[in-house]
Amino acid sequence: MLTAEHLTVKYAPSDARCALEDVSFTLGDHERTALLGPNGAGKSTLLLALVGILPALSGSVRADGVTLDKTTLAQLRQRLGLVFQNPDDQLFMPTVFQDVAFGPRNYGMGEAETAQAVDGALASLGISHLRDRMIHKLSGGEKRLTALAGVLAMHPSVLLLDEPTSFLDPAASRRLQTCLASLEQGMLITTHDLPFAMDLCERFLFLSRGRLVRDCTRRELGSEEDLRRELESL
Amino acid sequence: MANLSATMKNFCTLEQLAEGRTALHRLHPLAKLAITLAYAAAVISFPIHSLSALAPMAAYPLLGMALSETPWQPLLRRLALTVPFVAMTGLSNLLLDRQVWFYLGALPVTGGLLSCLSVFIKAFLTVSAVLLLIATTPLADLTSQLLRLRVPRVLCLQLMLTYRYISVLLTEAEQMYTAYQLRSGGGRGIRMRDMGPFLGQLLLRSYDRADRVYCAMKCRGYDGTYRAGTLPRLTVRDAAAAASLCGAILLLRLVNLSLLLGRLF
Amino acid sequence: MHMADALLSPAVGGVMAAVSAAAVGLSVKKLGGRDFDEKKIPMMGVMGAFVFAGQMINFTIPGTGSSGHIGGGILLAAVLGPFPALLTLSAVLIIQCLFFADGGLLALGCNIFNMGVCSCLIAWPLLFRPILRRGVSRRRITAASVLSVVLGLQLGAFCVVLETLASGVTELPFGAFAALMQPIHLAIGLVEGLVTAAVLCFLQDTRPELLSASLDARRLDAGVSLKKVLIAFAVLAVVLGCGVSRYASTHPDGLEWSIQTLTGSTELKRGDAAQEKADSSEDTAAPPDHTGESDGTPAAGLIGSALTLAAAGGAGWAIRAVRKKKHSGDKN
Repeated sequence: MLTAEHLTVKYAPSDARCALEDVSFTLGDHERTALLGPNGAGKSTLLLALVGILPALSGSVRADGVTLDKTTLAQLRQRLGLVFQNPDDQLFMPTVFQDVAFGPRNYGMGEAETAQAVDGALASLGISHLRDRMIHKLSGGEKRLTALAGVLAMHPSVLLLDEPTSFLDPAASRRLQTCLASLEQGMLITTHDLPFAMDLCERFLFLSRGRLVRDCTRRELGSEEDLRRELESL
Repeated sequence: MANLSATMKNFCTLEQLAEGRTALHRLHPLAKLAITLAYAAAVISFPIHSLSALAPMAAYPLLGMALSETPWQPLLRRLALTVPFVAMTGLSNLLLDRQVWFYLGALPVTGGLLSCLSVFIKAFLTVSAVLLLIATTPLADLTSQLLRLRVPRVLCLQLMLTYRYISVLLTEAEQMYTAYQLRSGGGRGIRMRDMGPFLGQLLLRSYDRADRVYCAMKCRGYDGTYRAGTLPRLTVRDAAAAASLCGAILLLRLVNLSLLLGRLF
Repeated sequence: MHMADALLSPAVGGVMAAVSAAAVGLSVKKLGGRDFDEKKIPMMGVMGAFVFAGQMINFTIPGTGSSGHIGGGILLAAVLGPFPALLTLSAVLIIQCLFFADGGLLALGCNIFNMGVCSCLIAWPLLFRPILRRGVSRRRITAASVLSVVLGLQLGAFCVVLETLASGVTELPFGAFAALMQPIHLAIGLVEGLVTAAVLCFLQDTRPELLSASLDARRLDAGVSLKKVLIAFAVLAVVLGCGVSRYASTHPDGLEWSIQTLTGSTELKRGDAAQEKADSSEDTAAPPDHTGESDGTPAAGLIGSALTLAAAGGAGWAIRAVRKKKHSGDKN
């Protein structure tokens, strides 16, 4: 369970405008939610604020009963797994195994436990065959899945995904969607890919100029065309 | 740029070679490191006019490359890079040291000729030894071993990060260069007056990327300490192999095997 | 300016490795200080990759038709600070050595010193920082860049000369060698300095906070004057290197003694004529090293060399042939 209450964020204290203003929502366990909005609305900012990368001016974030503050950063970041938009920013070790093992090792898992976590994460995404591959040889889709594995290996309860289908061709996009659908974690996904959002998510949050302007279910939304119209009106 | 893609190809070739499963690949990284260092030190410790004494030292790279199935092309490429400076030294010796040591038939063999050949051979031997090391040992294992040898963690992490991002940066640089070429009206290379913005942009992109990498690291629990994986233990077999090879290297350094053999005939 | 192993003696390589290790150790220690920004760690890694990529980018030098590329020491120090810059360059040099034979393994100590320490820890604090501490402007950036890059390269090139001479590998006299190296690297330095200046000016226009961070005095607190320590290191290294090599070459007793005890008399049979020649050659040429070349039996040395090479080469070829057969057998 993930709760944000009256979250307000500025990039710099001296900024006139807030990047996020008074954002509140609650995500249930196993709930898949799409975070939509025009460019510059604050979608990626929200994800970074949820994991404490961008400090909040006011408001709070709570995940699995743990409230975000200076002392609980590590704890929270293990529970909220953030997958970055560009896999090259997230995959910083030379091989797949080393990169996926980075998180577990930092969280104190022993060598055997780490190997188990890595293998489990890779298997759940069907990429066990990439275990010893050099990362720079991977395709875009494979990099995306590896980045996701790196986060899954830490056993998070919620996944935060920043535009996961960017840089992906339709086949890879479909593959990613299938993988995500098979996972049991709750998800908050920022995306511009409307079909992807409609197929995968049950709930939709709309962000515009840093404010949460609508929170609805798929049923309330209607069709993809309705979704498109909603977005264009923001 | 041709050399950008050639560079990536070189990395890929060496990485692929390092994934082999021959006996040399399976030898512990510490053993291989020790042998390589001992070998290189022995080779360069030969006096500058040694030739026949150096010949038996070629056994290590010749046999090692055969056993590890390392092809010759990477070696030749590496030698091409080392040759210029070595050639300058060797050829200047050839020209400056004209003292004749002996005659081979009618050919006067000067000290300069000996030292010139010697320095080329030493270059060949030392370069091939390092190639053998990197062609049979993945960088990750080498770095883990360095960490065990108390090389600072920070430096080991830098090795990993730099190695990882070279491909990313090279690709970016190549894309930027292509875009530049399409608008610069031809010509090779970049005009000097454009280097500032070109490199500057690449630098800024690298800087911003590093910022994002830092965030990604923090999101996965990075607390300033780099934790590498563990290496398998050094077995008795590995230690014995290293000891015997180092012993052989020492023996060849002290005893001129070529001379002994030649005297039999 | 990368030095190869073949141009080095173990003594010089060892001494410079120790000096560079000390400099690297000091840099690591500085990174652990209270002012250290953890963000620097990935920054150093990505910047290392940037320098690597940057060195592959050739620019055309107008009027000469030749091309050049950046080295990176001063550029790195300007953006990261001197100590992180040294660590970054060390990582780059190690990768270049391992993957491209650009610089030898035993020569790493020399290369880290010549290209890292000289620019980041000597030229940068001596020239770059003082010039820019007084104010940052286009003119100052250009002056600081050109002067510090030139100084760094001159020092580095000079060290190459000293290291090669101390190794006893070259017959070139000091004067000639230096006269060859210094002017070339002066020209290279001027060009590289101008490019560095151009990049830094670009940064100053777009992201001035990048430059000012490294100039900040707080991050460089050093009890003892760092420059003095390093210059002392450099002098010590060179003196030691020269001294040790000289000693080793004039007193080969240790080596000869071990040869004699190991081989008894088999290797040391010399005819009188050969002995005379060896005696006379001792005065002018390298000391007798018990190779076939120096004790009057070159033919034996040649035959033996041919035999050993043939044996090794033949064995190698046979191993490859067997392996190939095995692999094709596995495939079927």
